[in-house]
Amino acid sequence: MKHCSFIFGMIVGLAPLAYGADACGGVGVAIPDDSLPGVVVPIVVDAPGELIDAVTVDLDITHPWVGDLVVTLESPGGVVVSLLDRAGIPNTGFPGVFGCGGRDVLASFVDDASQDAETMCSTTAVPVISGLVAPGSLLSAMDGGLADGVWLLTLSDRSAYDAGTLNSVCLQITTMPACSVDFTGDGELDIFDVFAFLDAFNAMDPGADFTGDTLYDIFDVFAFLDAFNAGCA
Amino acid sequence: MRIQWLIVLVFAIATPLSRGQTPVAVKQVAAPASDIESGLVRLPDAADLVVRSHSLMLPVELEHDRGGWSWSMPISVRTASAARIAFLPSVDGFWETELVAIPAASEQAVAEGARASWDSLPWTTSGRSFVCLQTPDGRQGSWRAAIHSSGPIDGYVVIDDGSGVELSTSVGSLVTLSGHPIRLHSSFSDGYSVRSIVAEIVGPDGTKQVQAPDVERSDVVFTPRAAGRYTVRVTAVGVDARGERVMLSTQHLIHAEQPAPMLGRVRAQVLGDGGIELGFAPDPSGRRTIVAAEVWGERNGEPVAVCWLSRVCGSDRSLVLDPRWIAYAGVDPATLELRNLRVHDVGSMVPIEVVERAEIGAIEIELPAVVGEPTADMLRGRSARMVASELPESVNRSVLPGHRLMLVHGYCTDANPFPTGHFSGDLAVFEDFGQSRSHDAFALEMLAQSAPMKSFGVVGHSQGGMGALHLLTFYWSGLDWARGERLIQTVGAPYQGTALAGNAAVLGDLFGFGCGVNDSMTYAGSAAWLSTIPSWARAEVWYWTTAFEDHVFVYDYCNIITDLLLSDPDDGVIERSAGQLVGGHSMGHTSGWCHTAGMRDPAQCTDAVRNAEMNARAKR
Repeated sequence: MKHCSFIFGMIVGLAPLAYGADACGGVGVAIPDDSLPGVVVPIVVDAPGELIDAVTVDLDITHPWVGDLVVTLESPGGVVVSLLDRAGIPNTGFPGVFGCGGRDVLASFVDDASQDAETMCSTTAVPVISGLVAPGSLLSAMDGGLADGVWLLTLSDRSAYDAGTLNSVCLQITTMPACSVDFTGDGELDIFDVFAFLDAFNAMDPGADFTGDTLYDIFDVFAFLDAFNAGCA
Repeated sequence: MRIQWLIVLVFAIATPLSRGQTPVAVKQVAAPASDIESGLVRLPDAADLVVRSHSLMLPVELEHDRGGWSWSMPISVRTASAARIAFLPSVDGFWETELVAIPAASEQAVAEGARASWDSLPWTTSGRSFVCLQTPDGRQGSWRAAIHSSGPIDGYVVIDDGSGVELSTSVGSLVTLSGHPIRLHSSFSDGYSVRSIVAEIVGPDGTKQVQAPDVERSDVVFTPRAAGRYTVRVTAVGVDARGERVMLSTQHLIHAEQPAPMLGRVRAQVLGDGGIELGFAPDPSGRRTIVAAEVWGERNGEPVAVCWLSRVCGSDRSLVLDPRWIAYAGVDPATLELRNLRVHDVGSMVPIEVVERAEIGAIEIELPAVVGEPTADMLRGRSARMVASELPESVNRSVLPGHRLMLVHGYCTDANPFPTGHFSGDLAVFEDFGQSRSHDAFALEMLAQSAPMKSFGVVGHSQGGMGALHLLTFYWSGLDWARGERLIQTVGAPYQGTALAGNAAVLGDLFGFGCGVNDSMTYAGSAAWLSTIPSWARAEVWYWTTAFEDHVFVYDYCNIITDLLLSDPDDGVIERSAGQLVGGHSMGHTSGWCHTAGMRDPAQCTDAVRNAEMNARAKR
């Protein structure tokens, strides 16, 4: 499988993987201080027809007060996952009402990590959030959605006096092939997929060329129905 | 991990708080074994905490005499140094004072009569000046101090005969509890022996008792019947081999604490994060205390100090041992024990209970990998434990958070002593005027006023230094997040106390205090407090001391009255020796600067050169 690209010409790494898609971006993006909307960094993933199986997010942020940061990732399907949500807030006294005053993030966010950004604050460690870190909400919420398209990383600094920079973000996406007869892309096989196929067939959409012979004939219909009846794994 | 935080949060919310009390985040404090070995975190020997005096503080009751009221006393000047006597009447304007040579008829005596100076008495009710008479330098012989008045106005005199002889008095134990005898031992310097001794003891309810033990047992022993502050004035007569006599006094402020429930057996359990909780019997009263203990274990059969632990506690009295200390020390976990376990009242710092050794018992624990050096997490913990405290309402809440430099005044002042124009950037001015607070209460006030700040460093004067150091040691605050070079910079901070604390307490009976007595700044109170401050916290302090400019052939002082009560060099309030913080960064001692405005030399906080340096180097 092919893939991996991204926009703004800030390609920092293309590492094609079998059944996976990596995409990086966001080099040197300033995170505006004390800004609720923050900055949104788009990352284009080129993985047509592939579904998300697992996501790991590598974040490299320079920031003198990581407790200021709210970071979310939105998949092309619109699923939003929290990566960081003002580490240390709400607190029980430590590290304080302004959250973790530690410096910098250099971490891979993955669901099964044992470390939690909320509790790994330290007065001395730099970067204070490092290694494998569990995200604020599960990245697996994105699983099954389309990997292909524009992903949005939003970085919002919620407190004044400290500003930072996104050095880079990399998405490591493990994918699985999409079901070719799920024409509606809703994850279910039903009569609407048949209707959608027939519409594509009549419009001579390349996706309806099921035999791959560049011809739109009855054999494409038979091939579709065979596949439809076989179902998707 | 989330679940643990949730539990802690629920516990904090569920803990019943007294009215007006707020939960504050306390640190699980630790210190390396080297702090134990150096004695830094050990209770000092009370015998070493001596109050020294080269003067006599004497109450004056005038006698009716030929239509007026009078008092007089002979003073023998036997050295080249001048004698000085300060007159402290309870009411202004009634005492006519004199200091005349005997016989007074000679022309020389008239020509070289006593010189008069006027000065205030710091910490007592402001606005009054008192006269101090001084014999001419080198004018030895007999003198007579006298008071004449139109009414029976009482007061005190403070006399320094210039002999240089000192009376030293120490309290027998730092553990001063109500219902338990307290012993004071006195001795003279320069070969003088105690000939007689009298102690006047004033209890917290104002009741007075006078003790005159026989000379064979020159120790004064009294038993405080109730908890509270006691002032003790010890007056002793000494005699040397030639039969020369000297009479001097020492003044003491002693806090008799209410005993607390005994700590009892240690209950050890391993927490979810691997920490070993060492629990003791709770104190149902919820009284806030500092619990501290040394942890020892055996390595190859030999006892080895592992670390020292302490924490501010409420009703739940426990310490948490990070197992990395055990790995670091390389001791067998089955051999752990506590030594010098103690509980201090967090306000007075009086040790309420001291236990020499306590067994921990067997604990099942998997030791972590050996660490190279103790980490910040090991020293300060990452605890989210909360203790209910009376967090004062701030009077100076800043509008916005930030990274600030906080200018912190000291005990009982009515203004910020630092010219704000000497400092730049984001400043916060601590305002807690006219108060007398323990170091702990001072620290909590700083915590309250720093609440709107993300981080801050401190430039502190006098008790402001101890308040900041206490805050850094025991509580989580913006101090922990400050960045830069120097976290706490102080001028004129009496880390080891000041003799004025006891003297002022005695004089306060007569003159009153705008702010109240302060037993955090006695020598004993300071020593007990310092024994809970580990090296890592001390290393965050940069401090300066100052004293008056010492001119040749001139009697110099910052305040002529307090100079009678302090040992030179002093800045009018603290002695240079008592301004030292072992483990801190001494930035030196400069002459020509006094503690506060209104003293002979300029106020030490107005030194523009030092302020510029502190401003440039401060963490924020």
